[in-house]
Amino acid sequence: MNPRRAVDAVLGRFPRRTLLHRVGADLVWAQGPSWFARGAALDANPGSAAPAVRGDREAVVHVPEIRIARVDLPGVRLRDARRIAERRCADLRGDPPAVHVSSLVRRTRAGSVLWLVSAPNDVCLELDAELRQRGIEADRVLPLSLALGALARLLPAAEGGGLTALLWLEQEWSHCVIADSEGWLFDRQIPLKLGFDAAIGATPANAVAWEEEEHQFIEHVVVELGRTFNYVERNLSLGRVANVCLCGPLAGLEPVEHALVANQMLPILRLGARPLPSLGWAPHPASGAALGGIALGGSVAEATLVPDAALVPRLKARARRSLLRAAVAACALLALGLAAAAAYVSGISTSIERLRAQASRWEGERAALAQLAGERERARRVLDAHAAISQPQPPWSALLTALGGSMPERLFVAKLAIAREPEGWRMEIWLDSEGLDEAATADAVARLGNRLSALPLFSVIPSERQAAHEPAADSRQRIVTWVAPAERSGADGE
Amino acid sequence: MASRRSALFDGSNAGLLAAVVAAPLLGLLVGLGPLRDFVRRAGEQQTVQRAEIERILERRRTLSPLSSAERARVAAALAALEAGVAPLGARPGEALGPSLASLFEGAGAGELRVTFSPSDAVAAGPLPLLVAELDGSRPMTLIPNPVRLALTADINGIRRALDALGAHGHAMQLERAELVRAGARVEAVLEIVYWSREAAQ
Repeated sequence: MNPRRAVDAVLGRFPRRTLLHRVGADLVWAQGPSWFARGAALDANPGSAAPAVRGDREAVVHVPEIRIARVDLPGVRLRDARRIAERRCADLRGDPPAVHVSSLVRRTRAGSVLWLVSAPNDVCLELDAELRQRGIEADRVLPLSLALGALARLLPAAEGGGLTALLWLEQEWSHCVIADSEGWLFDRQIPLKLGFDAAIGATPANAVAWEEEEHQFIEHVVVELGRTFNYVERNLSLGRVANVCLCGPLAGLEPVEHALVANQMLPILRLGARPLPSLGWAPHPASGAALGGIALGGSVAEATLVPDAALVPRLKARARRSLLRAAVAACALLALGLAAAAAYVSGISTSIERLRAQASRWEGERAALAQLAGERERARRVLDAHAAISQPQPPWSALLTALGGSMPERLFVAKLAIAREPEGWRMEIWLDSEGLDEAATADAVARLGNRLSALPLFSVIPSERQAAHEPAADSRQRIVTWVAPAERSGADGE
Repeated sequence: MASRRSALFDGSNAGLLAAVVAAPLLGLLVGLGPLRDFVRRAGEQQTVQRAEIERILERRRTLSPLSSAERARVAAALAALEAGVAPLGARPGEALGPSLASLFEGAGAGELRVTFSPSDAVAAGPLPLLVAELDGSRPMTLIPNPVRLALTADINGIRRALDALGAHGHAMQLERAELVRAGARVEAVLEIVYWSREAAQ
């Protein structure tokens, strides 16, 4: 990227509209947000009907009485540097304060850098009054030298870490600012003045006189610039100037540029070459860059030449405007939030209503289901009751007859117990014998069990299973059997 | 420098600053609580409604109407219960004792003693049953009345008594019996349940 394109890219990064005003012999740039400044016009004439710039206004001025000092504070933190700045400002103001002093502190890689800007109080008051007369109630007024120094920070870095010289050419005066990568180092007003009221390159009536004037002017520029560079490099020992940037509202700076290249052999950057009348209200590239310097130069309260008496009400008004905007934004946000909440609540309500409607549609279904469930429950109860009550009884008479017919000889029933169990009717038969020994009795009991098992009315439980589950209460022989044909299959499963 | 900075927040802007900060906070505080409660209640209502609908759908899937054959079977069972179980009135013991005594004496059983036990005295006995028509009409309670019979007879007398018990019908059911030989005779203790019915409330 060549230097010109690099500068154009830098200029393109500034979103703010720039307005250019002429105040007496000086130029004043005022900037504001493009939203507010749209439609405002370049005001070159005092008292014109151009609308005042609204929004945050910052202006760059050149006043010879302004003094700038730079203090490098390596290894000092920003907070400590601010304390130092306050002390220095108080020292410079004096008691009673006769000088307006403002500071600008910037953090650097090595530590901090402090700039102190001072001007007589009456000069600052006059400057502010003149600006207001032209409809510019500036929140911040920055010296042109400091703005150009800040502009140097935006330019491509000089090879070998050299210094950058910014030559500002005007019809009435010219200015040279020497800056390093952090900003302003030194500035000098150069007595360069065109001898006629025309831009360089214009065609004068007397061509010979014009050619001579142009030649002298360019030669003067080259000489004065060389002297300045020598002073900076040898007397001040600030370093070697490695870059030159030509800027200013004058048109036709090409001959100057060519002469500088031919004599200094330095890279030349150009910022803007459009004649002043053609600016319209469009931003001038050079002024835009200078205002970029403002944008990089700290807050509105720093390095400003606006008198305290005027600045405080403006800052208050500015704060009030910000608060008002914040209040409006907060209310709008709240309204939006409430609207969103209302929409959310409305959505939930609709969903609930839909569910309710759906549930009401099921009301009839619920009643039918309840009736159906009731019918099924009542049917189950009736059938269960019928099954419980109408359960057939075993044929007791036939059972006793069959038992009597199956008894072996000399064996008789001593006791018989019948009990209704959930599985059926259970019969326990205790047996005694007459004239039989124990083995014969056991044999007779076994025979009786076999006989009963052979009959369909009985389902004899094997004696070993019965003994395991329910031991006999006495020593008599016992047979346990289920006696319900209907329950036979259930009894088998025991 | 200090005076310039403090001027931003001096008394003239304090009220506005407070309003800027307080208005949205107040709005949030006022609106957030009820809104959160409403959303929570709405969520619970949605859950309840959805669960209710799911339950209805599940019941509709599982429940089917009674078929005509089932209805006929239930009607027949109810009719059989009404025919086989008689009402005994407010004092079942007084009505039941003589009735059973005459029943067993008629069967030839001798030395008969009949004891009526209130239903709550028999813990292991069956529970009362509540039945009704399918539409819920004509409800009735089937009450199990425990009765204890002690008789002494020969084995044939015991057989006749048991035959009489079986011939009486389904309303009288033998629950437990114990027969002990006493020489040529048998001492029997019978525990039966006599089902009666009464109209339910």
